[in-house]
Formats: sequence, structure tokens, C-alpha cells
Amino acid sequence: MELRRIIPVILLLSFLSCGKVPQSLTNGEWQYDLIVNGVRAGSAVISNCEKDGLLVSRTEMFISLGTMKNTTTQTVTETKEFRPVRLEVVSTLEDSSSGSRQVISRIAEFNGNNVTLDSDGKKARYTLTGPFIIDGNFFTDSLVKGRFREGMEIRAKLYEPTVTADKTILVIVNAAGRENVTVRGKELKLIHVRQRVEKLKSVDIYLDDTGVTEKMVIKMLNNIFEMERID
Amino acid sequence: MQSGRGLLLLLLTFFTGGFCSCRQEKAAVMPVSAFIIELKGNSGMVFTEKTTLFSMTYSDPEFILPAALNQKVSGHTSDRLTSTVKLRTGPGVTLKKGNPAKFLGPTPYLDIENPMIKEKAARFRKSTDPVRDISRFVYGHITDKKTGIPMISASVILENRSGDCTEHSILTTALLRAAGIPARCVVGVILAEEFAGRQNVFVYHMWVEAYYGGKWVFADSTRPDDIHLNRYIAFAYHSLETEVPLDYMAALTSLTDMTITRIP
Repeated sequence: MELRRIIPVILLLSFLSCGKVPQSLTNGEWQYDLIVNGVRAGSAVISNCEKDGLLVSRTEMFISLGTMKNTTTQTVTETKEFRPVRLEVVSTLEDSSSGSRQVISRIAEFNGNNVTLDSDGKKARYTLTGPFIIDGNFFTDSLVKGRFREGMEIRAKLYEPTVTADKTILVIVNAAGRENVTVRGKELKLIHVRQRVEKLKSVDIYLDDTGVTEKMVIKMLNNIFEMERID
Repeated sequence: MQSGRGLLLLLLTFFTGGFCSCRQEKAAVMPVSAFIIELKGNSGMVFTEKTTLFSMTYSDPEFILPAALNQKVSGHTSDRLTSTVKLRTGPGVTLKKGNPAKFLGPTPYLDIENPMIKEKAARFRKSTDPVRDISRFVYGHITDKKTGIPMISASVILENRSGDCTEHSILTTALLRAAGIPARCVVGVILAEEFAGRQNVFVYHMWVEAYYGGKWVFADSTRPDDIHLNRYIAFAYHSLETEVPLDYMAALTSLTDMTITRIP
């Protein structure tokens, strides 16, 4: 067989063997266990939806430590073109020993490159340089458009006031092909995506064929944090 | 795909807020292994000596531990995947003066212009040893010693009177700065004789360095009168400009798969 005839066959076979890849952003709500060094230590709920023509992504994390219960919710609102609208992070701390409850909030509202940051009622205004995103759906959309091609890399400047209040940071996402990964004791063939901030070590994210996160692995200090889908 | 980086930040924020569990009394859902690093070698000897030599390995060939008031990094070797450093901890390390004035100003967490902070700091202006006295004040003032609080400002800590080493360090740093003394926070580990049923283990911790009397001095308000400099290893400085400054995040994500061994 001539080489030019072999190539389309190889391409077709490799495409078929890859399985399906996500075709669009996925809306819904998913439940997760948070696992620290192999022990279930909390839970998380992640959701994506469209509301009033905007994309809304929400991550809730619940962790208990002794008598303290910490619930942190991050809500990201952006346009369908991924222009930042609002970023809200609220931590609620409840202490069962004293019955006390404390709420800590940070809300960033965007008007083009101008951001108003409200930290527990204290307001600050910043003007950011160049195009930027917030922690919503930009990377997923870019991966979908690139069909999660192994080796593809996406870079974007991200506004994250937890890290810097007046500047953006570089976030790099790489599609790393398919891998067999154990989730809830079962081995699944999942799409592997690596995400990192500037030169820092990466977070490993594993997605199913519809683009929903099945597992996430983060190493920090001597700890391995895992988030595993349970529903 | 949702918020991988967001989750990392939430976890870092949680760990910064409750960085130290050195006074954790009740078992948490979180496993003990999340708060400790085992010390290899003849670990009990550390409690009998003033200076200690450690060998430390971690999985980042480029990251180097900082020089700190109580520690000198005397060697760094690396291969493709890991670093090994030799450390001497204890008294007698002279830290470069640098620019102490850099550590005098306010940050969102060091709200030194707050009237309560200013009023409290003013009490120590005539002290002959304000670093020691502020440390003792903070130790006594935070009566509810508990962990798991997200990072909050010094004035809120002053009002709430609860927290772990993070809250002790933030309040101490704010009072020192408000009293005109440059101060900064350090994150790392402290060797505990006992923690949650485990003996001789390093526990994540936060403390303070202050510039007073023409030199940097050490302060730990969780134990102001029981400081042993050889039992601390510094990982990074924390600017307290945000919850998770980039260099702090770099340190915590570089320092993985750590082993610490006492060298005889």
C-alpha cells in the first residue's frame, strides 16, 4: 500500500482508538469526595449553568477540622465570550464548640480591565493590563475546540485575587492524552489535562468523554489531595 | 473541566488559615499525616542539643530553602527530580539586614491603621523588650487556641481572641509593625515531642522575625518563653499581601515528598 493511503487509515484508527472527546461545555452539577492522603476529609460540589445569558460556574468545598466546619464557595460569572463579570469567594466558618459563625467574603466585579475588589466591605479598585480571564470555562472551551489533542497547550492571564490583587497571573493548561485512572475503585480510561500557574507544579485533572471532571490530584507538601466524583 | 486551580487555591487558603495544628486536641476528619513530617535519624537527640544538622530531600531540583534567622542552608545538590539540602538550625545565624523598612507597612491582613491595633501597640512603645512583650501579650490574649480559621486580619483576630499559630503570627506582626518595629511571617515546621499520639514529628507552623536593636530577632507567640531555635525549619516567608502569594505557593508546591533526617 502506498504511504499516502496508509496515513488516512492510521489517522482514522488512532481517532477511533482515542474514544470520544467532549464536543461542548457541559452544564450540570456533580458531587465529589475530597480525599487527603487516602482518607475522606471533606466533600465538594461543582456546577456549571447558564443564567441570564451568562455562564456561571460554582465550586463549593466542605472541610471539617475538630469542632470547626469550613464551607468555601467560589462563584464565577462570565459572558459567553469568557469576559469576566464577577468573581465571588465566600468562606463560612462554624464552630460547634462555641456556636459561633463567621463569614468572610471577597467579591471582584469587572468593567473591562477595571476591577472593584470588595474584601469584607473594604473596597479597592485596580486597572489590569491586557486581556485576562477568571476561573470559568475558557480553558475547557479551548480544549473542546482543539478536540483535546494530545500535546496542545493553552495559555491565558488569569485574575485571581487570592494570589495577587492588582495583577494577573499566567495559567498554562496542557492536554496529556488518555490514561487509565482508578476512580471509586474502578479503572476508567480518562482524558488527562495538566493545569499549572506560571512555573509551579501542575494539578492533574481527569475528564470523562463529556468533559466532566472524574478526578483531580494535587500534591502539596507531603500531602496528596484528591477529588473523586461520587455521583 | 472545572476549577482545578480554584481547588488548589481553596486548599492552600485552608492550609494557610489553619497552617499549624500544633495544639490540635481533638482528632479531625483530616488524617494526622496531613499535618506532620516524620523525622528520621536519632530524632530524640534534637531535644538535647542547641544546634542541629539536618539533611532534607524534596521533589523539586530547582527550589532552594530560604536562609532564615535560625537556619543556614550549607549545601544544595540536585538531580533531575529531587533536591537534597543540608541545613544547620539553631542560634548564631546572622541574617543579612536587608531593607527592614520594607516590613513596616500595612497589608490587607496587617491592618495596622486600625484604631484597636494602634491603641494596643502603643502600650508597647516604652517597653525595653517589645518583641518579647508583644509575643507574651498575644499568647495570653488568644485564649481560644484552635485551628481551621481562614486567613483573617489582625484587628479581627484581636477582637475574636481565637486561632492557631497563623493568627498568633499575624497579630504579633501587626502589633510589632504598628509599634514601629519591622516584622515578617515565616512558614515552615517545628519539631514537636508529641502530636496527636505521634512522637518527635515535625508539624506545620508559622512564626515571626522582627528587626529590633539593629538585628533580626525570633518570635513565636504560641510559646513565647519556650523557644528552641534548632527545632524550626523555615520553608518560605509569607508577605500577607494576599492569602496565597505566588512565592509562598511556589514553596508549598515545590516541597513535596519531603524527608528530613537528623545528621549526627
